[in-house]
Amino acid sequence: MSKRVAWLVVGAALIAVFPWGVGSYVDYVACLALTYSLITVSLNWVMGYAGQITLGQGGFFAVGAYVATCAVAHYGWALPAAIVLSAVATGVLGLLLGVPALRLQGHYLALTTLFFSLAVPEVIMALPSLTGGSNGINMPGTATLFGLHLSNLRAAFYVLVVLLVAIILVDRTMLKSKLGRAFMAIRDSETAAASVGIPIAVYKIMAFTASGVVAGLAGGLYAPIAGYLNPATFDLWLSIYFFAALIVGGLGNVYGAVIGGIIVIALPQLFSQVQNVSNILFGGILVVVLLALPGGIADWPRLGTGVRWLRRPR
Amino acid sequence: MLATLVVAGLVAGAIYALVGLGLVIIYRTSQVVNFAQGDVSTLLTFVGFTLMTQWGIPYLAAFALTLVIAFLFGILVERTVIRPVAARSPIVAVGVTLGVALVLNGTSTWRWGTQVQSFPAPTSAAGITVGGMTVSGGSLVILGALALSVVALVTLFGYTRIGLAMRATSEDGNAAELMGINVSAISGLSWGLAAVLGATAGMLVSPAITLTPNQLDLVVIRSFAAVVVGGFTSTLGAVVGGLFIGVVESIVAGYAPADLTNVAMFVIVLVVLVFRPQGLLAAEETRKGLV
Repeated sequence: MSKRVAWLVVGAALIAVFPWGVGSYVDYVACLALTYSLITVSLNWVMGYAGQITLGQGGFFAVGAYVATCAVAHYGWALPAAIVLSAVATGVLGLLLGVPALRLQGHYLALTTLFFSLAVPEVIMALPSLTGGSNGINMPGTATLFGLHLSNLRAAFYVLVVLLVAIILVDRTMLKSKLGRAFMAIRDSETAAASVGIPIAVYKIMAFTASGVVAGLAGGLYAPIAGYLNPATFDLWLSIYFFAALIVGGLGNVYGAVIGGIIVIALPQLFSQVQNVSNILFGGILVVVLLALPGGIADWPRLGTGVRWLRRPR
Repeated sequence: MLATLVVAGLVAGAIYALVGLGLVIIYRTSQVVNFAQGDVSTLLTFVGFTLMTQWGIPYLAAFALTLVIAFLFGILVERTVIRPVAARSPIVAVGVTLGVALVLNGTSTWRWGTQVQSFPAPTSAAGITVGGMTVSGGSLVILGALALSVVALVTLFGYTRIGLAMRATSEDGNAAELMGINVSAISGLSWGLAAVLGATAGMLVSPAITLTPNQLDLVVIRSFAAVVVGGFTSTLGAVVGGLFIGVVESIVAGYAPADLTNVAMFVIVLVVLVFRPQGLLAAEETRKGLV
């Protein structure tokens, strides 16, 4: 136990000094990585625990970011209220997107949610008076989160770390509760889950709603950190990156989700010299993980156990 | 106005149908929705581009050579990464095809860059004028290619032993295997055919929309919608769905105050999947992805 406490203290200390040890560009990248980790953790609730494929996370992220920015810029909302509004809006969207999930599974759900993610930037483009259209929109610099300017990246870093830790604690608690067990029962066999009296429809919709709320929170926090939003940011590939990040990190593992979110941001930064080589690497890692390490990087001690798949005749 | 939009939509729809046919062939034999189809097509279109413009091979010869490369490439992709995971959960299958998509998209960008390339047109013929509307030579080639592909596939499926084996595989893979059909070879063959159809569509549409590593992604997204409408197991459905989506897109783009094509696609996909998940033209599916 004391060893664990020691590790926690060391880890917390490292995280606490991190923003002072690096330049502001790395601070920004770290904030992005934390934001992506939040979204991957929320994706894990739907995909990893409840077993429903979704490519809708990019859409939630976009809606969250735009709702917060529009509420502050056009309607003079205070930033905390605007971020809460983001979470409510994406929660409602998640609830609505959960409804088709009652009828659809597998590839069909993946396609439907992918089209949702594609439709969101188009709606943003179609409302230029509200969203600025293709010119984008600025988050007013005066917006503060209880006195903190999130454009100050060190402040933003700590806010995101605290939120991520809080969400991980929620995740851990949920996993041990009736809710988490119901999600996983649905994932493993819907028929078995239904036969022991789990209301599948209710839990599927809850998974999508909760996931939407967290992705919207991440979007709402991203808005003041980035300071400027443009629909081009939220393209086809964004949702694919979130999906891939979760699988690379570890499907069904909250720490894997965090690792995946960090990797998907860090990889392009590490290989920024060679144009788009990060996509080749990331796609390659995704394929290799699926073939050889189904539990993702978080499951690295079992590297290679999945390779039997390559040899197993069909 | 409307007639012009419909004709333009049919031409675009023919491209969606060509790509969609590939998606259907793959789905029928391996129950995988190939999210990499767009980037497979893009990479092969770039290969054709290089053969035509840099190696100076005449258009038709380069086109044919690209299709041969496409066929082999499709088989290669199936054999190396798809086959080991095809029997696992849909999340794994979707993940692998997305991984392939990322690798191929990165490869196209790395090798050919993001600058806009103009792809050689199949014909400089002026086309024909019917009732005051001009249909360009390129558009006629696209419609002809769709017709030719449909005839070829109908012949293949209906009148050859390989086609019979493919149909048996899509009906019931285990039973087909027991009858002595080499199911995994059939799966490879279908990925090869799908890549050929994707390369054809890519090389025919690129003169009109120019060529960049991401240009075909939206084309293929429309093809997904087309296949959802027609049904993932229906060859005819892919054609009808493709033409339908092309016309809808054209009309929405012509009349809507803003570009809401993807919103229209989302609504169509949602309505079709929720109310008739097997698609409009496919027989009801009893398992595999549907409740």
